[in-house]
Amino acid sequence: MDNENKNKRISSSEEKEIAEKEALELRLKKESANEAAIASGDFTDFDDELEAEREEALKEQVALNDKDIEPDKDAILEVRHLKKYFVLKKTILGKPISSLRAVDDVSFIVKPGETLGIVGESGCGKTTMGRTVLKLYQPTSGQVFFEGVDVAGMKEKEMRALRTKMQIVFQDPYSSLPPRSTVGDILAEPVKVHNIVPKNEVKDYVLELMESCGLRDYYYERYPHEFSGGQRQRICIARALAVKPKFIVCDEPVSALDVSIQAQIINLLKKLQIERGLTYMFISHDLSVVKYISDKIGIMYLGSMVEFGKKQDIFSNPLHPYTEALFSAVPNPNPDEKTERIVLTGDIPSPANPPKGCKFHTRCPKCMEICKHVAPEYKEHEDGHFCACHLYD
Amino acid sequence: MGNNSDEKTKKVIDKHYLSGKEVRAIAKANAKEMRRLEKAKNRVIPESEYVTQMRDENNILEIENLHSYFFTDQGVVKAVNGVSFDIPLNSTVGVVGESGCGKSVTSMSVMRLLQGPSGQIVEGSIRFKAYDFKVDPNGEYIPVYVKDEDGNVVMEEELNEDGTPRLLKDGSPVLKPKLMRDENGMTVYEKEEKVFDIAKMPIKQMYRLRGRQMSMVFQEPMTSLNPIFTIGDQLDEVTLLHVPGATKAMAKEHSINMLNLVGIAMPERVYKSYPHELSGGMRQRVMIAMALAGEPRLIIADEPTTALDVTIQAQILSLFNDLKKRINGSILLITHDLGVIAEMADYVVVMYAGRIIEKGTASEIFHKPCHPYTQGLQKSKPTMTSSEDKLFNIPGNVPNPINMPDHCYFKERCGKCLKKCSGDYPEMVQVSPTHFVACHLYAEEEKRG
Amino acid sequence: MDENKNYNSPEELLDANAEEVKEDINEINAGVDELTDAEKPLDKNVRLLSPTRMVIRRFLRSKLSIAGLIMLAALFLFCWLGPIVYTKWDETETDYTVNADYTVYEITAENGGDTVMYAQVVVSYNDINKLAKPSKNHLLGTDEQGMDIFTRLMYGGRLSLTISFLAVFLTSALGIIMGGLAGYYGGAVDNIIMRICDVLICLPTLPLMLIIGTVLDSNEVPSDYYIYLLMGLLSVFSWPGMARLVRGQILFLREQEYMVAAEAMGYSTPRKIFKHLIPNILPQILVSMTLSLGSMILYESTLSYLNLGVRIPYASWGTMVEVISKRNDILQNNFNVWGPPGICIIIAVLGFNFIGDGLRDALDPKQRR
Repeated sequence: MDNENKNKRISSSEEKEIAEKEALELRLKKESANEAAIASGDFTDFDDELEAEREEALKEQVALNDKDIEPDKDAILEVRHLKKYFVLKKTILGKPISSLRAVDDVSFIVKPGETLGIVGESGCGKTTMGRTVLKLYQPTSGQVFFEGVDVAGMKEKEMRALRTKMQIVFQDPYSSLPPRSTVGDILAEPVKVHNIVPKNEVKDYVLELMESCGLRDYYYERYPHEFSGGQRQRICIARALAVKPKFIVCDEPVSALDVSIQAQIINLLKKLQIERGLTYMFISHDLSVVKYISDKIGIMYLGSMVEFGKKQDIFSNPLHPYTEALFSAVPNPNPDEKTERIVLTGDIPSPANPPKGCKFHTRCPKCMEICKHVAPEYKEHEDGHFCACHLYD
Repeated sequence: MGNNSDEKTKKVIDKHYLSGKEVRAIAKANAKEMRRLEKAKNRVIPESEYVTQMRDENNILEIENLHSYFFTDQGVVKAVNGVSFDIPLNSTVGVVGESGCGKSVTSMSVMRLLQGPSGQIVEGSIRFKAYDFKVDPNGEYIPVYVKDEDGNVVMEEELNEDGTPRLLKDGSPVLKPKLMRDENGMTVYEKEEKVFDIAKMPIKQMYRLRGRQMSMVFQEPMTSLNPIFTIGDQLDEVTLLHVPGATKAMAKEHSINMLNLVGIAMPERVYKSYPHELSGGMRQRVMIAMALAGEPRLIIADEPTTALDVTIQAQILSLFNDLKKRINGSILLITHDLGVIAEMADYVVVMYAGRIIEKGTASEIFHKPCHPYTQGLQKSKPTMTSSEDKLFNIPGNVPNPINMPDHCYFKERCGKCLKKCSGDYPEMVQVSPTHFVACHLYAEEEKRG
Repeated sequence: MDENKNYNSPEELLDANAEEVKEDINEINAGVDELTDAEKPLDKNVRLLSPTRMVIRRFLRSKLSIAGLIMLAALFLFCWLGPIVYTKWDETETDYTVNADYTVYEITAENGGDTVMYAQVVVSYNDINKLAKPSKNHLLGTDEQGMDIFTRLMYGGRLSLTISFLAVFLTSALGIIMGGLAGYYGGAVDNIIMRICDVLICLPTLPLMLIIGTVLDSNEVPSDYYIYLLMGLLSVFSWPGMARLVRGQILFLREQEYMVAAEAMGYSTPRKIFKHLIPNILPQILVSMTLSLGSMILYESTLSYLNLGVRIPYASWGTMVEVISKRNDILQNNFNVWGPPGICIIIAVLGFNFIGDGLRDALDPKQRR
């Protein structure tokens, strides 16, 4: 009996080895088949799963290689292969089964005094990226250098001191102010906590700040609910400025506001940038606003950066089909000028289950066979103009 | 900052709040007014009291001197304060304005959906040219029968449930007059045109208009569909409710036609799915299909694309433009986005603080805006083509329409004030046959000219 | 600005206008960066309700909350001021006023063949004046022990209300701490605390109280502390409700953008919890506390009724009603003994519930009006 069992065990382990070997061979075969398919352009027997794995491994390798490169000295913010996955489903032991790739391998550089505009539709991960850069979310992997220091690996205590240098302004001016504090309290609290000015000068400092943001001094004792959206957004901006930051993430700061108020807030942001030498990361879904305020623009789609470059380059020479479609989707305020418009078909896919190959291929008007299977490489096409599209391979 | 200034700010703030006495006075006045209006809304009056005549037969809707107020603790909010405009047959009228200008309240007033008891139509009339089913003395609808060339009613055989002809005892088939049916297989009933004054109509009579003759597309597609029913259930309901004699099978066919009409690729599948299974753009399409299902004469679209992404907004806009040609009705489009208006509207109405400040055809408003507010609004939106260094902005805030002054409401934010602007509220001035503006800049000139 | 210019027709004006717009833009822009005084006049037209006044107005909008307020005010005045004003009887003072009661017995005796009838009068002196009907001397009569019901009602109210308040505060404190920890830290802490909650909610409170009462009895715990101990235990069993409320609120608030802003400001955790989270859930806590005051009063009464709570000679509303559980004749004949405390309990519970509902409407920040 015992012997039989033993034999069985041996044989089963042998079988296992053989099976593994076979699997490996099959895999290698498939890999080479895949490579051949890419080269020939015939995708009939293409293994998408394998390709996805290969791409994933490649990305990790690149990220690892880049890890030890010194951060750019001229940059105020450098983001390298930033990833933020939200776990959707876990096993009982806490191992992730499926995850939402909100930000998937994004890299860029922001120079001091610049404004970087991030454009994308809902679900493209722009808000998540803004918050991950500020370490309000712990990044899954990747590096975020703020003034040459890697923020991503920092402990909470160290981070707290650095928080004064990077701030955020939110989209919804209604939920971003605590309802039961007065404007004065809201603005004075960060000043006191971080000892920005001596205690007896706090009120003067806050009043001065309020004035520079276009708020009247008698608002000091009022509650947020007494203000309109535009004034609340001014309060939010004043709060962000209270700690004298160098870098501000503006997360759709004007989307919830009226047109005439939008212009006020944008002008205020511009004025403050000049006065205080601020650097902005301006997140918005509104291309015309981003165009107005930004120096550089990044276009995001389903967690990836599809195009990145100087404003002039992107607007005069949009490379990615998605960028072109976005441009043409903006309604034209001239009723007599009916332009032909690229209307994208279909809906934005769920970021929890993005399409294989190029993420945009399901809606792309210029989709090719390769796009459905192989993800395009994100690379520099002109000086400082990055794009991820097979059209330019 | 010394104590002195603290006291000063304190005083300013105390002044900024209402005193207890004032609050009580407001509450008392409000309660009285609300009781009166609520009573008027629910009383039973004969039809003759709210059936009127249109001023112009080419209009489908005429709003005249509409006042809709909200009675709040802070005072009476005159959300709509004397608004008049017309919607011609088969055209799109866009209402633009910022939040709080009263554009949504206008549309809610047309549907009589203002939340009582605080929200009330106080004055004015909303004339709507509607059809009404004719009724026989028993109160039943009269069906239309198919007639041959001589004007005789065509008879057809009556069928049993299994589809075989029903026979009399002597073997001859039972005949009945043939009913007229439309392309969806629905029975057609005799109709007559009637003009209702919606503002005077008892609220219980509104079921005759809502859904069937005027319907609404809301801003938030995520919350305007009932999550526990399938799309099919919700679409069928509209048909079953508003088309007399419709069967479930007919309703389903009609619903699927509607889903096809709004460009849904797999209508059968969408018909069976629940709202949460659809994306925002799809839901908005379903909402539009629902609005169209009763074949209304007027569709009120309240910010239909605001909650959508740019690329989806482009889809919905092109759908609307397509539908405009195919449906037999008018659209009242409410939005804050001048771009959307320019894409869609034939006529534009610009509102500010509860009043119309300018109205005209779309190209007039866009190429020759007269009111400083309209001009400012256009300049303050950065466009894809412009490349100015500095964005124009209108200073100040949109006023809260409580205790509005007698003079022009825009005076405080206007860069072109005249001395006259401190006087009465400006009258509407006609600058071209279709173009009106309420501004003193033009009033003076007209008199001289 | 334009007063001096003359235009001949509206069209001319329009064209002139288009050019002017551009010039004006520059002019206006120059003024934008500075504080524009333009908004001031219209701003002044609109005056708001101050936050306190808004809450008061919303609270008073409902007639029921006013009723609740009056009911409770009357009850509190009665219980705390009453004994000071009405000093005729003390809480545990027995009415020893002697009152004679006589019975006449007829006795027939045979005395030598004659039947003689005697009348025997038996005079009995009650040493206590028990179960007296309401009179001038005893406004609501007396109970079995001859103690004045009106006075005991006032003292009993003091005790009942005090005990309920203590129990509610204890419950809330436990609930806020546990719920706060669970909500803020989440993860394992949350899991453990919430499972404890689940277990506690599963336990049948009343039978458990009965058992504990018996145990306390057999260990001869002095009956003065008895009720406090029981109510303390009750709080231990009933904090999960509050904890769940607090946890839910904190989970909701944590996602609010102002909490993310607080995080971005680099505030410490205690500051975030105590300065930003707790003040924002205080209204909900207050409402919940008010509502649970009513149920605590009921609990106290129930425990006392089951002879587990306050014991004679000390008075509480529950104890005062308790007599009817043993004496059927009192239930039938002496409404003045058990009726008033019962009514007091109803008033107190209703009052707290009315006020709780009113507060909920008044403090709800979602109500914009």
